[in-house]
Amino acid sequence: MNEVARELEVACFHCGGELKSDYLKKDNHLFCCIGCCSVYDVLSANNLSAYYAFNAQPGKRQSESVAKDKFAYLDLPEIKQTLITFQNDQMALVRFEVPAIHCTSCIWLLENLHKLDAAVISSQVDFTRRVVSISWDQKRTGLRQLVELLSRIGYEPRINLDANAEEKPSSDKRLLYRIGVAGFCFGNMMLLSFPEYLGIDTGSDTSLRQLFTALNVALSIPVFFYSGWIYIAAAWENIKHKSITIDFPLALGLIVLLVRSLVDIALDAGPGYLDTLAGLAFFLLIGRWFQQRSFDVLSFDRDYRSYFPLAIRKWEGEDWQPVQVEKLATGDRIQVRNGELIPADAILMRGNARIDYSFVTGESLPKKLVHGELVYAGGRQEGDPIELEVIKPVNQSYLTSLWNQGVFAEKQKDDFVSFQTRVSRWFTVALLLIAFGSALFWLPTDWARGLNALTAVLIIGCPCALALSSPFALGNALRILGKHGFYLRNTRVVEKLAKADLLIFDKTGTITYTDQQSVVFSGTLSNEEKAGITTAASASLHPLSQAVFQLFSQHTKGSVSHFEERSGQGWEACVDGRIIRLGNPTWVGITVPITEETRTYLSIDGVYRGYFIFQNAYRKYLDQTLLKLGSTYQLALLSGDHEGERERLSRWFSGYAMYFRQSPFDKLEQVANWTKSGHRTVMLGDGLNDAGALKAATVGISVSERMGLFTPASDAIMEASVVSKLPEMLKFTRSTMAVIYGSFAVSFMYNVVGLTFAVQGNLSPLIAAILMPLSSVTIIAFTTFGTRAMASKTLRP
Amino acid sequence: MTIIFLLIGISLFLALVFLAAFFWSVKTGQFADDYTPGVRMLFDDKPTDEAGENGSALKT
Repeated sequence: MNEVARELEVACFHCGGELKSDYLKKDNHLFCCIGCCSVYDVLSANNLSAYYAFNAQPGKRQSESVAKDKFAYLDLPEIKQTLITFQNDQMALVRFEVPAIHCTSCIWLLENLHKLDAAVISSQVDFTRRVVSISWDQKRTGLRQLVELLSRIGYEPRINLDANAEEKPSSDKRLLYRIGVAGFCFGNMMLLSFPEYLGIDTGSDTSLRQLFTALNVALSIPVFFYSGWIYIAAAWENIKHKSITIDFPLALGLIVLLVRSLVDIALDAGPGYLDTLAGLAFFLLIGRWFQQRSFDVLSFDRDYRSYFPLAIRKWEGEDWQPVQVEKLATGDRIQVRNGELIPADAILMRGNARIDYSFVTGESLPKKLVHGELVYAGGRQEGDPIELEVIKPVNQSYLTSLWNQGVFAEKQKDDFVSFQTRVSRWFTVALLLIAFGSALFWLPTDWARGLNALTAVLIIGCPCALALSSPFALGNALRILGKHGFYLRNTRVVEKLAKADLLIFDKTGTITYTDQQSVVFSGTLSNEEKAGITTAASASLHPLSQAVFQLFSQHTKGSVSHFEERSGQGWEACVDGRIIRLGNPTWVGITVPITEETRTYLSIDGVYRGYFIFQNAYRKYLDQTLLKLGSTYQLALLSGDHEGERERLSRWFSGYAMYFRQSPFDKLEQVANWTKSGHRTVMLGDGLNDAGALKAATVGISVSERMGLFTPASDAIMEASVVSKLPEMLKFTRSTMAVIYGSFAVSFMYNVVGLTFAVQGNLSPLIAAILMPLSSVTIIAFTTFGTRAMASKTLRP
Repeated sequence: MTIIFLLIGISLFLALVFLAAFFWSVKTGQFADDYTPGVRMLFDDKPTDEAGENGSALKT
């Protein structure tokens, strides 16, 4: 108990973050930063401090202070129109995606918005999708004020013009209706068929039997024409495209079931197989539903538009006005502030540009630019506001034109043939051969028996179990991988991953940490000297100085009597009487051969002492991970960065499989070539520059440091922290396929038993009614337990 | 045996009522979000500050 209390004391009351020396104190609570404290202020002033009662430290760190007119563009009528989903004279309704929603406190606070702003009529949270729907009185407050309120309390919505188009299609609901109808009919038909199952003789009174039969026929109509119709329609598509999938034998089975039953009933030859028909449709639809359930909260289809800002400030003669970035034209003058993204290729006109291209090129250090230099879209400005002149419209800029490439053209034909489809082609042929073979065998002697055998084979051969095994095995695998932080777009991806043979890695952000640098000093220094360097380095804001400061920060500080920094060269400081210089070779007065590595040189009292090397910090356990993967797969590296770390990387990647200084277009082309030459490629990348390569690969996995942030369009999203588990996850996809093979074998066994009855022409409705659900349930159980067992074997934490 | 006719009618009718209830629940989006409503009903209508301090607050 005491331990918990102590822990709470040293953490921020709002976000639970670590308290540094500059923490704040308010109402006996400690806060890590002004942002967190101000959220607390807003909430406690409005009597909403119960927010902190539901969960300890429920907030998210509020590091960035929001610029006053950051959301000014929300006053633009055309933007308002796309965001607002419904409006009339009194109220308007809007749905925001809020990535910060993560706990019950969030739900409570967001559903109590009306206490913060009386104009809010109601607000409702959908936790699983991280969405809040707000209706408010338009006369009393605007959309912009609403968004500002949300970001003031730490729930800044992700505003994205095509976000509203992402709403779930209603096909999900239609499938549920279909399942409901099939289930209703199946249950009732079983009940009505009970006298037949038990062989109960209703005696001389046939009216009861006639009623049961009539009801069965009536109930089978919605099953066939509503619930089961998707299979008939899909089979018709198969015939039109001359390619056979599992839908074809399924539809054949459904049709034969209905026709044979109706004929039997009409001729009074038996009760028919209508209950089997309903059960078949019901189980099949459940399989389909199981397969469709995936991760609603993640979006796998984002392009640069989701990453780029919606609006930017443009000079309109006398004032900066917000304007939609799509409307920027060549020659427009725009302003970009600290932390904002450059929306279009432009020329720097005024200000000190320090552009962080890490998301575009993988280059980890910000680039300094001077007046008149070209600035590429996708970079992020750090520091003072800059003014730019647009030279290319947004969609034709260097980076964004990547999306004009062929791989992004509409829907790509996915020519991957799943195992299920391949098997069902053979299966269909074999089924038809057996059906007509047995019919031909009986026809000369007993034509009625021949017809009987033909239809019975088609009924019992209907690959219900076959159709269920893949959805259940792959659907389970999808959810198990999701629990481990690896989210796949759909079940096909599991199968594609199992077949992969070439793994391609991006460097920065994928196998290295995005925000960590490892610094090594080559040379020797005494502790006093280290302390001096640390003290002086803390005065400089340059990232290299900051990294040096971090390296020696445990040493005690000295006192600086003089500090001078020269941009582009380095700095000089006098600490406790010693002159320390850190910077480029000329600055410290030496000449060195040109190197690819990022280095900074040090001299003390005019004597050259050595240099600091900056390397990307590789992810934890990377060595084991890549060595393990290397034993099973071919590995390749595509880096936008320079060759400085080639030697270090050659431990894992063979020389000819490493590519450096790759532009986004190079990456796309390289991966497309590999894929075309027959490799099943898996590309792991994180940035916009990998977007093309992710798309061109058989499976594109985007690695994300924080879930909910932007990830480029891909087949799967992986939490960066679980990259080290990739070998086990890939192994798991392969064992999932093994489970499917096993379940196919089981399902064939059932078919063999059923077919022995069927070819002799004496398949009774009772046997069909038992065999069919039994095989389905067996398969569902087999695949579910099979994948679970495989998961606990391969994916042990 | 004629009573069975009536019973079958009643059972079918009841089943239809359940089917209608299922349709209604799908239509009103009860299958779209199956997490939030469960949490929402645990909130007090008027949570007070004391609720947190004497430990009766919701823990998840």
